[in-house]
Amino acid sequence: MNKFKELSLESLNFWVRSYPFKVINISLLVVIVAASALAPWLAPLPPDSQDLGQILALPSREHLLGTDFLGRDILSRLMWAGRISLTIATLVLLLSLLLGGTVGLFAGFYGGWFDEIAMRGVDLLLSIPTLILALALVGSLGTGLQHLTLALTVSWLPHYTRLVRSRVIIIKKQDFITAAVALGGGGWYLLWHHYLPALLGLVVVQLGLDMGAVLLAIAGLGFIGLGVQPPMPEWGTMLVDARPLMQVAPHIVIAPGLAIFFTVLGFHTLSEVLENWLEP
Amino acid sequence: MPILRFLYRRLLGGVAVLLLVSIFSFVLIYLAPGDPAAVILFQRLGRIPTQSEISRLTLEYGFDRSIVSQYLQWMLRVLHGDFGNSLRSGEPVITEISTRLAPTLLLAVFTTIFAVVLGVPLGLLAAVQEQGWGDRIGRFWAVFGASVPDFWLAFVLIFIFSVYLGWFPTHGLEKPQDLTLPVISLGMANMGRLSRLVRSQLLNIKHQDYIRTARSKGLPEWLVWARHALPNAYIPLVTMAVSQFSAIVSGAVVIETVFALPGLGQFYVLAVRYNDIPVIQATVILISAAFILMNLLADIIYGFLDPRLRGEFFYE
Repeated sequence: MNKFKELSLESLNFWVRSYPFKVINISLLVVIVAASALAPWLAPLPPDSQDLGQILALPSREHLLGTDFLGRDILSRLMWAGRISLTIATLVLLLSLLLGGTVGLFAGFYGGWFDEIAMRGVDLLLSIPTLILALALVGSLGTGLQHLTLALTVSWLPHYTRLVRSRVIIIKKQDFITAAVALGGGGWYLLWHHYLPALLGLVVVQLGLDMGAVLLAIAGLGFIGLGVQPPMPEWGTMLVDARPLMQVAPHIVIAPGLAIFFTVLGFHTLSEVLENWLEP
Repeated sequence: MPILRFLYRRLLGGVAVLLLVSIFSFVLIYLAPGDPAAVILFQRLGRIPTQSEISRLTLEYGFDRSIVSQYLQWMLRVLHGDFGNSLRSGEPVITEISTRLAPTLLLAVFTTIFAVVLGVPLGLLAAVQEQGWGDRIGRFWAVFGASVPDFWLAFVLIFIFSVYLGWFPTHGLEKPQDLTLPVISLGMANMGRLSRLVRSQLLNIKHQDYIRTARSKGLPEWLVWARHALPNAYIPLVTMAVSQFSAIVSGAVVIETVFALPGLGQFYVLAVRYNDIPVIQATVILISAAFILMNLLADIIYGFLDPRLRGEFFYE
């Protein structure tokens, strides 16, 4: 994988030729993420501005992807929706990593009663299917962006606890750790210089995969009306609104679906590329 | 009998997790903002309750007692199959759930069958002709299945097969074949994952000595694969099929809503929407109990599939 490291025109050429699909998927992801992040500046229209003269309009120069049943510009809504979904997904995963990962790190590192308690907690959360758990929390806390983020974080963090803990236990038995301990390395030194670097690749690859999964969960929750609430735009809710009009205006069903698909596909591809690079 | 001792230990572990799940479900009512009695009355009456109504319900439900004694009392009723009444309909939760169990069970079973029946041969094909067409189709399918939202796939299938061709109804469940489109939309991702798993397991042992021996003694190629290679994938396959149960149940919540199937998933979505806490509590407990049972069943199946695992050592 040396070719990956020298970023020159030549290597770019090599990548495009050898892995055309990966290059396309990741480029699309970059475009979608950039367009979503910069929605306030780039989006042609605000997400809720209505053009009542043009309801369910087909794509045109004025509305590049057409308009929905309230005459709102679909492209603009897709961009704003992406901004919300990507922000929630990033928050969910950062929190899962920070809370779940840290618990896993210490559980694996120290073992003993802390490990025992942490693992029973993980067993509890993993014995309830992800969406059922998230919905149970939404059901008692109520809907809303904070509650959605919290519910998804609780559903995702046990995976990180388990992942990090199992890797830490493997690292702990390796010779370089024994050597570092023999040389007098203390707990924090070991953690910072040996454990964290050894965990980095694993965690980054998992984050890429989970980014796709969390985005799908957000869209699914939006779709059943328990995620991001209207009038805020969201890919899943855009699809529900479009459903009764599937026959009249198929383009309003296709656009949000493709947006979710290519974003998730992009994150999966990114994770695969990172895996080959970081965890050979 | 080491296996009995092993199963006994796993059973105890399962009961312990289920106990934690029950505590989690019990606490759900306290996560709701405000006084739990007020929350229940608000759902039941559809208006803001008066102070006297709240204090009457507080006494009736025992919300004024310590949380431990409340939990014990609640748990005692749950153990007798009494999860209380639905706040929305006023009917006992357990009867409400039992009438909706069948469609979801059928959906889960058919989806698993669909994924295994298509995923295993696809994985086998991909391993036999590594980098060949079967392998490419399998890889494409796995990536596609993992990235496409199941409800969107359902839309596309409805558009093609229900609206355009008219082969299946767009929603509802009258005949078993009405489950075709839900099963396909739900099973696609699982099928892709299963086929990749079978492929990677088979590639690991493709070049083992005993495979060469089987070939050199003149066994037909398909028998080499079917009898000597494929059984190596059985155990990971069972593990994954069980863990996929979790994904299928999560997916069923959404897919049942798309196709208006009168199952547990759709019922659960309504319960969540109306903060119907008793229904949420019961669903969480029952689903996780089913999941824990399936894991236990998988442990038993491992022993049947691999004679090595029946030995003394594995269970110690």
